[in-house]
Amino acid sequence: MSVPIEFNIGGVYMPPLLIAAVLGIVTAVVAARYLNKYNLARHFYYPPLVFVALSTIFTVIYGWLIVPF
Amino acid sequence: MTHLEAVKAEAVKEFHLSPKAKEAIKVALAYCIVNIIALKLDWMNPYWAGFAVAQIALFPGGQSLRMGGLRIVGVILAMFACLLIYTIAPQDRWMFISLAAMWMMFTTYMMIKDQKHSYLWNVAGFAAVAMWAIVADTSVDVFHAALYRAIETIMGIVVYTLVTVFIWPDSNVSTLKKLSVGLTSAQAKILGLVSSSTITPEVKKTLKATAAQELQFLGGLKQAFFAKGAETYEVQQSIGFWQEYHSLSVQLAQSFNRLNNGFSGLENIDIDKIVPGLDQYRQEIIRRLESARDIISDGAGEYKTEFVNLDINEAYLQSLAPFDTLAFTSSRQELEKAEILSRKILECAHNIVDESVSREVAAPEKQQSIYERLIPDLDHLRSLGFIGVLTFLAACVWIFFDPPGHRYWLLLPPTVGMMVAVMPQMKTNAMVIPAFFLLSFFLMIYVFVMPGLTSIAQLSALYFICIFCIFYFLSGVYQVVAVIGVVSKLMANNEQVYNFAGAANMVIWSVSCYAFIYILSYMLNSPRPQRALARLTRRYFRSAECLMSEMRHNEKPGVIRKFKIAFHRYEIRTLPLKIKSWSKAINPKHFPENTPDKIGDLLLGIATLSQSIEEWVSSNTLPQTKHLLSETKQELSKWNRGLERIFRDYHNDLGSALSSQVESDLKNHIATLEDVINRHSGYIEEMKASVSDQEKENLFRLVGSYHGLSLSLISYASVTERISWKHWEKEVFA
Repeated sequence: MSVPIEFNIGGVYMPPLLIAAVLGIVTAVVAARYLNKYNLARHFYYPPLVFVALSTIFTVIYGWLIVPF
Repeated sequence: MTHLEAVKAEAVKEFHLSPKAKEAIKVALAYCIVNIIALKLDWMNPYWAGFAVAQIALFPGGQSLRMGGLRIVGVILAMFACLLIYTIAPQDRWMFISLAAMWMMFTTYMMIKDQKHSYLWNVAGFAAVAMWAIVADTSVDVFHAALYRAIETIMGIVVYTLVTVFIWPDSNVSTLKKLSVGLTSAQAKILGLVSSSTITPEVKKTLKATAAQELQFLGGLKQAFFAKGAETYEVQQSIGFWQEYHSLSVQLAQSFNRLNNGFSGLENIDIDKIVPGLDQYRQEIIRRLESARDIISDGAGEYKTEFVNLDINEAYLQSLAPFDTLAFTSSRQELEKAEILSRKILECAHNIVDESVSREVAAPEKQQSIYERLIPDLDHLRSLGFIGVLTFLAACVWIFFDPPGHRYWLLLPPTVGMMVAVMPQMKTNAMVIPAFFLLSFFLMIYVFVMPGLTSIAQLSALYFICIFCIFYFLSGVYQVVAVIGVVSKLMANNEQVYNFAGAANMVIWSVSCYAFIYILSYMLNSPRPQRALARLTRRYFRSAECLMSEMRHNEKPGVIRKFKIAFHRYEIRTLPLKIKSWSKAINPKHFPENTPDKIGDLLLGIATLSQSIEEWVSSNTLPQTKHLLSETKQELSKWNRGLERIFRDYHNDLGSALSSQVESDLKNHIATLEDVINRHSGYIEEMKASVSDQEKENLFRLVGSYHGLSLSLISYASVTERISWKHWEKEVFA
């Protein structure tokens, strides 16, 4: 099992959840842009909630694969 | 001097800071000064003063000493409200929250309604919540904290006001002049086109485009009275005349609209034969308008009015068919009104530039009936409900969940909520992502840069750079979020302690607050602007339909019907501007089929329709002759029902293709009316003695208003058919 490790940036220790959340939100923003570009967003009932869901899913994936929290 | 040096010297001489750069420098300077003063005097929480500067700069409604004074009154009001509520409900949290919500509703209402003092009410609202959010255990602490907050906010206001008044003071006199010059030029051109003897399709097209410009100038001029810089001494000195100029121009626009309706009924007769001197008459009015334009533009116009008379060839007029005689009577009255108005406009332009003439009181506004004064604005009521619920629920979130931010939940949501209530188009959903990144960015500055600062000069340089960049490079929600980032993340005290966890929690707090406001903003309208626009347009046609139905009844209206008519008229008058505000928030990249040009045409179509409906209602309320033929009444009633049906169709389906139907209906109605009036020429001859000129004018004005309304509807129908309403229903990530 992976052990959560704090990130030392310039002497400031950042919690791994923060890093995973930043990466998750950035990925969700990129995904939303592509969904708009390829006209796929029209299939969702309510995009703002889908965005929240995507951010959560990506954060969990990052936590699971790269930054355990 | 070498050539290179000469070029450099020329470049330096030519260098001018843009208004945006000047504004950014002023705000940054004021922000630095207030922080230095508060730190130097060792006041409680020195960043409160900076918060006041940033909050005012985001809402730059007025930058004069008078407005600064009004804002100070706002702070004092806020302090009294805060202490009063603490006194009434020190131990009863529900009473406390309810009173706080009520105060926010009151200040927001006043902020919307009292545009002249909206800054005062904005400050009275946000300063009160800022005082409620302070940490205080005893009543003495509450008093001290409220007093310090008030003093620091006043200091922020005073410094900001002095900086903006003394460094590059703003005045919008040039905007007022530019708009008035454009408006008067457009009106001179319209008169030339309306009374042109040959109405070709080209003339019609130019007339339509010029009328569109005229509408834009009228709207722009009205807004300019409340814009930044309008309260400067230069503008205030002659504000009464500017308002009179606007009012006269509105009357002239209405007169031209009626004249155009009347002239379209004179297509079959030789107008130059009825009025041999029409050309000189028209030229004199145009000359006066052009003189007024030149006087306002550079004070060089000639202030001279010559009396002109409208000579009528009575013999020829008598020989015309009754329908044409009626049509001419209406046009004659409008031409005479245009002559009077042009004289007044020229006189008003002269008064604006003549400093020896002063006017203390603004131009008298049109008297409103009790019904018009009492009807509510649905969107204002929603705004009040929104801010009240937002304040109450934000306090509940703090009490029951106590999330990061804690008591500051009582501070940020109502402060931003006030802006959203006034400007519902503000996309709060678009704040969430920028908030996350911008606040994280300022968190990084707080963590990595601020601990390295060793002097007030370094701190001031940091503040100056941050605030300048925000006000120079950012706009809209990005600017709001970034300003909140600076005031809430880069806080400085004399005894500074850096706490990463606390600052990171504040980022979560800010993002959660925006999400919370976004969810509640559904109370106002859909935060998706394209949906809001469609909803408001449907509401517009619903009101138009109801108005048509209410006005058709012959019996005298009772109290309820009068309220209904006043309400729908208000909706028809105000909705076009609201629709326009929402249209600006639509991202054209997401909806490429509906280009900004098409949307612009749609807005213009709605505005023209409103003008025609207003004229139609006014004409309907005019006294008509008792000798009006029953066939005419029936035909007008049929026309009314037809228009009502079309409005209903648009209400049910905004994309209805009705242009050809409206056009054929219009032709049928005109032909039938003409036929009815001409068939009864004998009867009309008999009644001539008992029907006054005024009654004749009223009758044709009524017919003309139906005609004008149908033409506006055809114009709208052709525009709306080009809009893809289905496209706007598509879901996108905003």
